[in-house]
Amino acid sequence: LLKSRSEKRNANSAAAVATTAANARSKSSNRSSSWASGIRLRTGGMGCGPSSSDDASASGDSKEKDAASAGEISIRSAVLIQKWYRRYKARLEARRRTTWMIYQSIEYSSESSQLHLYNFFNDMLSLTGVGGGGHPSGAAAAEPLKTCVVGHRRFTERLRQLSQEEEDRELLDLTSFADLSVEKSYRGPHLTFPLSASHVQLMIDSFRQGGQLHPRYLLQLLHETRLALRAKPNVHSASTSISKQVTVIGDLHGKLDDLLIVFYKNGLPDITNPYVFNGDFVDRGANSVEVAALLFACQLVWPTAVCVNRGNHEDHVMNCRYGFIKEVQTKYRHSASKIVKLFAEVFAWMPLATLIDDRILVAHGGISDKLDLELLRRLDRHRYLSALRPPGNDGEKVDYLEWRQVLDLLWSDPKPQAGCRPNTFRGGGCYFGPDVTESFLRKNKLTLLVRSHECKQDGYEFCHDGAVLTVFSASNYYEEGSNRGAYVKFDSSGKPHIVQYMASRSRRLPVGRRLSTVEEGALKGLRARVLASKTELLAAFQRLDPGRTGAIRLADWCQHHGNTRIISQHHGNHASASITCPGTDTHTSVIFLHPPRPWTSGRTSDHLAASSGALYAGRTRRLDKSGRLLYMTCFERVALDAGRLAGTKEVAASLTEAVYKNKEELETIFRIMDKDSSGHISLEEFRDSCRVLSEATGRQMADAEVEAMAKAMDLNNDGYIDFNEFLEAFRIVDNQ
Amino acid sequence: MATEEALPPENPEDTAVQELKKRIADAFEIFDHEANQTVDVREVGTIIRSLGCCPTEGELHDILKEMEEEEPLPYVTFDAFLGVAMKILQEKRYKPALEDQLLKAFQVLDIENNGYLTKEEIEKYMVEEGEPFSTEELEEMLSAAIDPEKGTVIYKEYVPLLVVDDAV
Repeated sequence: LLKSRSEKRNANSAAAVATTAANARSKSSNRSSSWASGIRLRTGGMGCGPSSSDDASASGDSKEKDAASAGEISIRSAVLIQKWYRRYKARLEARRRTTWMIYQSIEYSSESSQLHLYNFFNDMLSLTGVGGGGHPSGAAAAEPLKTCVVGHRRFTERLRQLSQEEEDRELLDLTSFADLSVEKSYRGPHLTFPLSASHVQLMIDSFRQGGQLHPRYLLQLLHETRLALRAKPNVHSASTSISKQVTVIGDLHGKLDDLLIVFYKNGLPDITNPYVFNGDFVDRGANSVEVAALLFACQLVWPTAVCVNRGNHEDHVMNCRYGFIKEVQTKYRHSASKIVKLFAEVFAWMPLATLIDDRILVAHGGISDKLDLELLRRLDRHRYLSALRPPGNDGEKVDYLEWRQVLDLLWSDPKPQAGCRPNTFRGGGCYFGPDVTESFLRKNKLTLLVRSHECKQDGYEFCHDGAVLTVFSASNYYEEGSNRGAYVKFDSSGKPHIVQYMASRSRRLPVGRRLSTVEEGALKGLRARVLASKTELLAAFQRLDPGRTGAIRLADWCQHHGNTRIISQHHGNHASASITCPGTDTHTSVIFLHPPRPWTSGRTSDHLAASSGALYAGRTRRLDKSGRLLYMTCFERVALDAGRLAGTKEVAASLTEAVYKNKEELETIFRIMDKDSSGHISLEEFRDSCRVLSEATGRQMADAEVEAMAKAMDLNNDGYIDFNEFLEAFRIVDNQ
Repeated sequence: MATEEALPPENPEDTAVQELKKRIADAFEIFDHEANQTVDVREVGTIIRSLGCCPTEGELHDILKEMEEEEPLPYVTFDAFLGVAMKILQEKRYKPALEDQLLKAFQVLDIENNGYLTKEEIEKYMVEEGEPFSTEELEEMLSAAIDPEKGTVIYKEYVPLLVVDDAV
């Protein structure tokens, strides 16, 4: 049984690829057969010389000889072109992979610091909880923070204690749309409930042109969605018995373009065209609200044909950091508070997984060795406002096994190594190996695990010997041109068919140029990191340069910071090209510090690497004549700009750096403090936030400086700061 | 963490060797997907080429043979790779031709001296002569090289693309 299942899987994965993305593998498999045929001599008929005439006279002979050597030359020319072309492609491939690794590293490090911050909060909250002992200074900073976080949780906890009816009424009161009337000037889609297919089309047409749903309609939509989702089980059952097929969509992350492409290519949902949306509709992209609204509308119009699985970003805590709340605030200034609350409620009611034909499990993250479908079905998913925090008031015992069901399902990643280890980089879930997959599928009589959660260059990827399929539907996720999106269709026999696409506004560019855009994005990200860690990096450089010559040997750097990598590109034609680093005229090298790959045990890098700083030595000469790195040039290309604060003497450069480096953390703290989601916090809360940040990162921020910053940002002197504006002020500018 | 110890005196040769090793290791690592010091044998060609060498397919086959220890395996270990790669790079084997040689190569194929090659000509040469392209390689080359209006490859314009993009 095992054998036939794995055979079937292999056959599936082999048959699955509908369009092949260009990659070395398929090319090489052709190549390896081609080398065997070697260089073939071709004469005549190929324009290698004048066509042979009938007479085999001496002139004919010499003509043949000419033809032969002309043939050789043409072969040699062909080979030259071919090998040159292959080398060109190889260079592009290496660059593309490197760029990819840069993006992933930046993403991991961001998640890693999110984890750090989150753990810090949790620690503080538990320390300042029952008993009142613990961290003295931390406690002072934590108090206002605690009030907010606990306050928010209390709101949801209280709801759960009411009966369902009371709960509905209370929620309706708090998030009522009754007083919101639709102005005559409103140009967006008008919704009436119950929704119909025409409403969905109206929404699509409007959103495509940049339209926005009125807050009244959005709130109504969310209320209806909440009721509809509440009625669904934790694990939804989908069947292909009627439709004969089902489509699974991966992460969308607020990319409206991609969702519209999918609907265009694959049609709107209905009974004959069912969909499973596998989470992460919001955060990062610019249209999270519209994407979520569309998906929820589809769910209401075709309730049996659409399933919306929860992803790790359908989570209030994540939304504070990754842009969803910001988007809601920007688009819905006055109703933001209600909308945010209601979304959080809706997310908590989303089903956790879908089972297709009792044989394919679809969940956002993955599985673990502790995953138990029975337990999963039984638990009360609504109690998990955020998958990162188990339900329960302080003091209540946490059911870890139950918590893990939810956490692992939404956060895990498959890895090639066997076993199941905690996913320390993401901050939740595990890394599960092929053995875990094998035994899970066998135990539950399943044939395939479909998940999302990780961006893949081709939009999809099989692993664990075809037992796991990752499908990611947000194209251009890191940058325009960085990756394709994909979705998968299953027929009634469970055979997958994959469709790839890439949303693109610009005309199709040649590969080389498209790669440059993607690279530039990655390098920009790195440059920002470098600058944000300038103090530490400079200190590290200077340790290797006691004489303060301004130059260091690259080899020394590598030796002392073992996890660094030199990624070099160079002008291929120089004679000295065999050694890249020193001496070439135009030279690009990126010395790249990053945490060790999460799933390998390696020695943990020092704090520099952990902060994922990166060094960019620029595109023009940054090396001196003996090939040493002129390290100050790394900081030249871009500069930190603190906007209107730049004029203020009191705001020291180091503070600017501190704020910029921890911008995301600071933003998260602000949003948590901002109880009514208004985008404004009081001066005092601002000061407290900075204090919290300073505790969390161990980086000192002088009170006087923070004070100066706060005052400078309170433009109308009303004691409140628009922190969105504040954060906008700190950015990287080109120094050209 | 680095301390204030005295740095060893520079030996330019040592440094050069060390840096070369690092370069090779880095190029290797990009293709080491499972982070276990091995790469798929089918990617060895890509890695060697990304290091700046320009071998033919036949030469690549020889390189692989050098790397294989006893019997051919589907993967190559870093140690095996490093030894051979160091030699290749230090001996400056498989250097790429110069840009004007590439241009001349196209000119040879352009027997009528049109200044361009038609799609059919490119197809024929690349797929039937020398070390043939796969369909994929051909499609890729054509999509970038073909002038969409005329349906021809004006190689004088194409060659610089192959060269310039190299060093962006």
